[in-house]
Amino acid sequence: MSTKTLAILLVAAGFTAISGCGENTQRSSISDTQASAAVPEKAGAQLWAENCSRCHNIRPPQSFSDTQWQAITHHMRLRANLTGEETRKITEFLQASH
Amino acid sequence: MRCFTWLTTSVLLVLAPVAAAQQGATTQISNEQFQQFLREQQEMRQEIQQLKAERAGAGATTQPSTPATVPPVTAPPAAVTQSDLDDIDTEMRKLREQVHTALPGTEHLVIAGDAAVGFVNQQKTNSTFFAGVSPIFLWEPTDRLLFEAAFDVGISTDTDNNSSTSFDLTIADASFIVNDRLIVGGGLFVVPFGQYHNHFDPPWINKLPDDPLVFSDGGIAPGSQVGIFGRGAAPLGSAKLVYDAYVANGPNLITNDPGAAGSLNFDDFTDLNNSKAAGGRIGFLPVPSLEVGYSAQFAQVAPSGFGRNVDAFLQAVDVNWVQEVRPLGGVVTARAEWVWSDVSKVTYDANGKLGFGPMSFGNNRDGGYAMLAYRPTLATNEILRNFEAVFRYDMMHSPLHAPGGEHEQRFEFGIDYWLTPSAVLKVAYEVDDKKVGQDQNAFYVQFGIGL
Repeated sequence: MSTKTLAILLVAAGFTAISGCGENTQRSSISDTQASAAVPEKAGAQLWAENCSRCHNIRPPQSFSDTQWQAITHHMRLRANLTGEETRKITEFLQASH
Repeated sequence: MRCFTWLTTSVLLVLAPVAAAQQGATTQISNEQFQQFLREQQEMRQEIQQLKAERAGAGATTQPSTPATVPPVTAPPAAVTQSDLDDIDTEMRKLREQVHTALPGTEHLVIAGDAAVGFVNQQKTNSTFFAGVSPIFLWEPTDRLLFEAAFDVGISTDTDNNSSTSFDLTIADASFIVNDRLIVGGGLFVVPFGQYHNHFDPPWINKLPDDPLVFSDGGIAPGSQVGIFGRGAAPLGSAKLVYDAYVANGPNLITNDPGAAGSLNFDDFTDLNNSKAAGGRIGFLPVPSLEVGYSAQFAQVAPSGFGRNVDAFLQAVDVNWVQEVRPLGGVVTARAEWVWSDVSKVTYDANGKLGFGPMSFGNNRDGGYAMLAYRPTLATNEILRNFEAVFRYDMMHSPLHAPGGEHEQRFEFGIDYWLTPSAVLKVAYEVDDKKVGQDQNAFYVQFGIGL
């Protein structure tokens, strides 16, 4: 086994360990909650302000419709490395703020 | 062969959970279910009309009579209030929206993107206007699947005054949410190498009209590549860890151009050898306003038939801090990134047939930028609040004995005026300092907008 192959396998193993690959969404949500039980949970509005403003000005909730926000927050989860829980809370906040 | 086997296995590993989870995650409905939704909606509408009629009838008959003759328990129509009817109306609207959002079609298709138009007056070249549009299509057929496609459409004029139009595909990928902490995907994607290309280069996000040298055309950092990726994030108490990994075709080594031999071509998505590039980024956010990261990519970049393997090892560190500082009366943004690109030593034009060799060198280049911006968001004057002052220092070093070798540094000062959160007018002046070539100071005006 070459060094390169070994390095790639180690990276894959690290990903699996960190992400809990194979768990379903519900289980990983629970583990997220448990992991963050020691710190106060953040509301969607706070997560929206913290994560979006780190790169750009905040877009008002009225900028897009509910279904558009769902696709856009999905895109931003991919682009900005949001967790599933963060994405859900931000989406719910934006959809409720119309 | 080993690489091919590994790739095949990787693709199967990625696609297997995708296919399995798709069966349970789909949100599309059958025609029968849709008809059932419509019937239920129609029944609810009839119920509302019936209730309204009963309430109107009850009001008409009970008002003339004396209230004392009607026992409270025998007046059910009066129990339906306007509030109840409003609630039913609200429920109907929600039901209607659920029905429509579940239908296959364009409801989950978003067309967004950005555009820019500007003017540049740069020393040693003719002044010119420039423009570009970059649409992005987001299609979310299910809650777990996302398809993205984006391209840059623009015009440009080269150093020989030849004008051209360009159409560059920058994103064409599909991704799948495995769980709360992991997304996998593949296609043409923006490589998570540093933060600039992934986060900062759209004209309504970039606070200056041009890109830093290391992330511009001819720079040393990769942009979009074709391959597969996994990315995600995990909370660490009040902090957060973010991670990305990918395998891609990687850049190609330029071997036969006398002016660019030893450089990497990031724009050719076709792989010229059987080796693949592997890389990733790990980032840490101790507090939400601060992110630091380290990126690396390794690839063998020599085209097949070149005669020997050539390694390219790229590394980058990045930091991004955005904070409202009350004593300063506004928001301070500080960003810095540094990139190293090391291409192993090799002999180009070994037999001299191309007319510039033999030439042996290791092309070790590096460079980066540091940007500082301040916006007085706490000012009482609304116009003043929309201004932002920006300064950026950037530089890039490439070996002076290599083709195209240069030591260049630039100092850029800019003033932005934010018309809306996603529309900005920028004015900037750039002081250029080259060791080999002629300095090219530049004046920019640009209007950037996010759509």
